[in-house]
Amino acid sequence: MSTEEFTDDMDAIRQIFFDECDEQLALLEEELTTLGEELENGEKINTIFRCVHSIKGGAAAFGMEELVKFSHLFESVLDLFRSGTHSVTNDSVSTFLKCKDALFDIVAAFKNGGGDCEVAPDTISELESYLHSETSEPEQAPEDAEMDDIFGMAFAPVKIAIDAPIEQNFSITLTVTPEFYERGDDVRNILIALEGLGQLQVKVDTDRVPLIGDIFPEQSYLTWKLLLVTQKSQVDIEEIFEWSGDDLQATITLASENVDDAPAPLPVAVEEKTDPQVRKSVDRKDSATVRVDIQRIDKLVDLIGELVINQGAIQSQMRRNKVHGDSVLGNVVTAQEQLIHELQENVITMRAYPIKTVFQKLGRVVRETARLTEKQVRLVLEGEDTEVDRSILEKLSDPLTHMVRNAIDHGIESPQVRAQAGKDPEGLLRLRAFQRSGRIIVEIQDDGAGLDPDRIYEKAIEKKIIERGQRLDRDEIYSLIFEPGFSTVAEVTDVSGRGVGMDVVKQSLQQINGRIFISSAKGKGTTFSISLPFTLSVIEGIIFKAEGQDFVIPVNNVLETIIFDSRKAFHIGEGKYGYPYRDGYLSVIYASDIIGASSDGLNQKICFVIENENEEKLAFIVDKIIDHSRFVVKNLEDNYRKIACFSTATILGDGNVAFILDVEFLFGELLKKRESSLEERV
Amino acid sequence: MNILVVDDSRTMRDLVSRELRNGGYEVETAEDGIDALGKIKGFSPAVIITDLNMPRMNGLELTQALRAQAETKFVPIIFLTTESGDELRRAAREAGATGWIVKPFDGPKLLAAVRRVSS
Repeated sequence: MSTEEFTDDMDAIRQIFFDECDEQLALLEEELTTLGEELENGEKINTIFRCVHSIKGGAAAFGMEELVKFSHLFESVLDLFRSGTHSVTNDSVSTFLKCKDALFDIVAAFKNGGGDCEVAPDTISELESYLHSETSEPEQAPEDAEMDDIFGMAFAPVKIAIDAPIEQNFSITLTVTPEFYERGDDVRNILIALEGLGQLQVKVDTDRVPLIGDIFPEQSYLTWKLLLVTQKSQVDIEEIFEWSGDDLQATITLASENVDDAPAPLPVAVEEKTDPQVRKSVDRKDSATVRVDIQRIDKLVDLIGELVINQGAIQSQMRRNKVHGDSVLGNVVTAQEQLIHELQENVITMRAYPIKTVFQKLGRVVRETARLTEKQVRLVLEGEDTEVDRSILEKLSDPLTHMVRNAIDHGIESPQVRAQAGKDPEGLLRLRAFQRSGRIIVEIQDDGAGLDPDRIYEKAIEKKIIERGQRLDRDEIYSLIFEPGFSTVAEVTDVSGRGVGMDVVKQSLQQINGRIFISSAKGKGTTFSISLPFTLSVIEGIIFKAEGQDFVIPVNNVLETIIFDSRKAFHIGEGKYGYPYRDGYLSVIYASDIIGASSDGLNQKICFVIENENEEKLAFIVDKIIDHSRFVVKNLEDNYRKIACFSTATILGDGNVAFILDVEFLFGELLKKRESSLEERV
Repeated sequence: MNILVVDDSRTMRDLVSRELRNGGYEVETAEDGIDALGKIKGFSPAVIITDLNMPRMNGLELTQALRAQAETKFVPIIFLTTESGDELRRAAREAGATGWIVKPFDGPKLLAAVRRVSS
């Protein structure tokens, strides 16, 4: 992609520099000898200046101090000629020629390895005389600063005399002009640069955004409110903004981190007043954890739940009064909704625990099981820091314990068998937790014998779970192990045969809205993947109406929503209906049946295609869909009493209580109906 | 990511290119503003680093020309120069420069500046 051949070697670039110096010096000489013969010297002076400038730039890059110093001095003098402060005379030309010779000597000295080359003192004094005769301009100051900078001795910004780096909280408010963007910059760049200094929190203030009709697309209406926790000084922060000049307005204030410490934001000077030791101990306290009674956090979660409900009430009231979402009020309410959402997520994470607490317990289970089954097992834990809501973690421990025991007992082979199969006698059991698309995935992976589909199939026939000849694909065969009464081992072992089968594992996972998947390869091992929600206290759901009442169905169970055409539903037995769907048929459950109202179902126009954890589907028929939203889950048993098909409820925006449909119950009901209709036929 | 380096000094071009290529960037070079304008097409740089003082067309004129073209209107332009005067900086800013680095050439500083405008 290049027109020039690049040189990677520093020595080669150094050589190029010397070649270039020779070129520049030759050009310098040529220009100098013709200088003064023409009235218009401007362009010549410019070229001369550029030659010297170019040499200085390269010399600085290679740390050739003498060359930089001298060319800088020469350049400063040339600048006075360039700006017209001095005009070219024969004397000045002769000085320049001397300077050119001096440059040549210094370059030659560096070229030959040695750097100690003295410039004749009279040449320097001649040059300096031009600078001194130039009276008025105090322009030296920035130039000196630059010189300092060249050798890294730059005048440092006011250093604060504190030994240990101290974290400070800066609150920064940013606004930019359209010109800021026109210069190819982006606030994002600034934020990323700031993030490099410490921990950054960003809030965008949309107060200045006008109504849509008044928005001028090139104008910048946003205000960024940042909180930066950093060990760097204010000067380091200002450096990031420096480039942007007037196009970026930033106010930086040092926020006090302790209420007793300073009541108001004070400038950096406050540092010196505080004893560093005290400050440090405060910091340590800040970074430490606080033990809070879990009930207090639960209370907070509840209160935020109320806030969500209230927010819903405001929004439904706004809709009723036809307040436009783009109005000022609409924007404020939307912003508030976002804030509450964030608040909720944050508080819920406060209640989260690392899965480590469960994993560590499993370490003991693994050792014990391995000892009892005389197997060698190495346990590998991954993602132990993955956080899970406490309510889920509590219910995860038992199923995981059982699955780990199973994996060692049934999965991993004995050391002899493994050795014969050419495997490491020591089996590997990997427990892994991670987040994927908003859910927590826990994997239990062994490198054992793997599931044997033929054996499972035979066993299932033996246990009368399936009938011979039933066609099942591999995944369906695998999932047979979750059927009640299934066990692939003939004798009950000490370890896993405790009357608890995989069916119980599956059930307990379903209670916490978990799903389980199996992948296995014969001879290579088995992986059980459990997918869990992050929390049980908030769900995403659809509000629907049935028999004049509002209900909520969790959105993750709804596969599809279709218009229900009652003429297509066909009778398959007493009160039982089928409905065509895709290439097959679905069993139909009318919401009115569940609720117990005796409607003819004529109002019911919407069909939810519902799927459960076993990928069974059914058609659930309701009157209409009201809204789609996030709901705070309230336990009915705690607040009211247990109702069969609704174990939980939520409070809607209008203050009404809506029951949350228990999808597994629907399938249970359906199963009962199926069985009873079979009995009828028999 | 493509970066165009504009400098009349071959030493500087090589030094800067070397640093950028070590930083993982694709580099094209130009000897002055006019050369740079000719090399924009087909290379589409994500960042342009230019010297201020150059024959034929200097950095300021180059910046103005780039800002006037649709395809380079918003491309970040960093000046890499020994000049540090406030007036020149202001002129560069007005012409549309994004950032300004004062030579001597300092590799990490340069890479930081490129990251600062291109992240």
